[in-house]
Amino acid sequence: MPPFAGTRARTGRAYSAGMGNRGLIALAASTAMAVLVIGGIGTAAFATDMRTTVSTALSSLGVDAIEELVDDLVDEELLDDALEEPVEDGTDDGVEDGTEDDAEGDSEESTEEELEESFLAWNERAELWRTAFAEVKTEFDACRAEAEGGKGDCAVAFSGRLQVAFAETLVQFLESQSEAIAALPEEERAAAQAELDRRLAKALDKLDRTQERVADRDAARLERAMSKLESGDESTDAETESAEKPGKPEKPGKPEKTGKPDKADKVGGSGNGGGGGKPDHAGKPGGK
Amino acid sequence: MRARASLAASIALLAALGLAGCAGDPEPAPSPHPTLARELPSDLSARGVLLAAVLLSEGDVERAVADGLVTPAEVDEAIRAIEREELDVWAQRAETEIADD
Repeated sequence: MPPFAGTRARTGRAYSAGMGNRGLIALAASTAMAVLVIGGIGTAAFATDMRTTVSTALSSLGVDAIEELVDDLVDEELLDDALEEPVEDGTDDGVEDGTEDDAEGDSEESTEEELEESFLAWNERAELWRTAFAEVKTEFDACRAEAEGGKGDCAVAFSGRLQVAFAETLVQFLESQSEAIAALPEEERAAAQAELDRRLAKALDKLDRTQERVADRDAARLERAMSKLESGDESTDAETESAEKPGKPEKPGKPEKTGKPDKADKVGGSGNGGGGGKPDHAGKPGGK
Repeated sequence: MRARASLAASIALLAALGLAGCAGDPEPAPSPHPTLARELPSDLSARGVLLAAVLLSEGDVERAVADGLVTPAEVDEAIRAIEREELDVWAQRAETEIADD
């Protein structure tokens, strides 16, 4: 055995142990970095999607908002809960195709296209949009004129109709572009028609999804209204009964107890369930 | 001689025009849009109106009202602004508010 074999062996073990620790630390550090990077990318992507949605919505309504304003609106914590999920739709398409990269690419492409369509086509679509808006607004005014207590329902119904109308104008606009394509030189026609067909298919898909979403929301609203009405009937019955039998004090309390779960349902699992203690206005500029 | 006379005439004309321009009252600055100047009630803010407009076209406004994100007054105002195509004025007001913060 060489004179320093033992020492070398010990040193070697210590070295390899040191390497092991260092390796573990390096692994842990790289994992942490990866988590941070992926988390960061995820957060950034989420913020970008929210930003795009807000920016697209504003531009489609004719507002050219500066970056600071869009950022300020996107900063609103509760906004993502109240916005529909355009990203999910894009991701779903990608999942069907089977590749995440494709999904990411599709999502980016679709948001870019949406922006492009909003900005470029606005002037041409504006007339269609104004007509659609006027029709929806007439319904809204009629609703408000008839409604006594539940005027908020009119705004909700208006919002749904507005979203459908907006999706419809995009379809109408794209359909109207066939004539423009027919006027193109023959060599450009096929490619333009293919692009138009692709966008039209997307617009029709969006219209379907919007109609479905609005119908679901309306159905949920109707259900809540019915259950509210039923609980109201129960409370009226209880009141009548208690009026007939004035000797029983516990009766008036009962309907309130049955009414509470309905209220919780109405919040729709939004997480904060703030029902009664709702702030006058959350996140106002004054608070910043 | 004639050239000198016409030069003098043009100088006189220019001077007269200049004097007329100075003598008149300065054009009043265009008054700001009422939406920019009016005092807003506590349940209405420019930012809220814009959020309501975004939610009207892309989100669930009922949920937003229930969550306290926007007020019913802001939803009403957003509808009015979309109808009158005045949403950009609200954006202008919101931008001013952000700059003032």
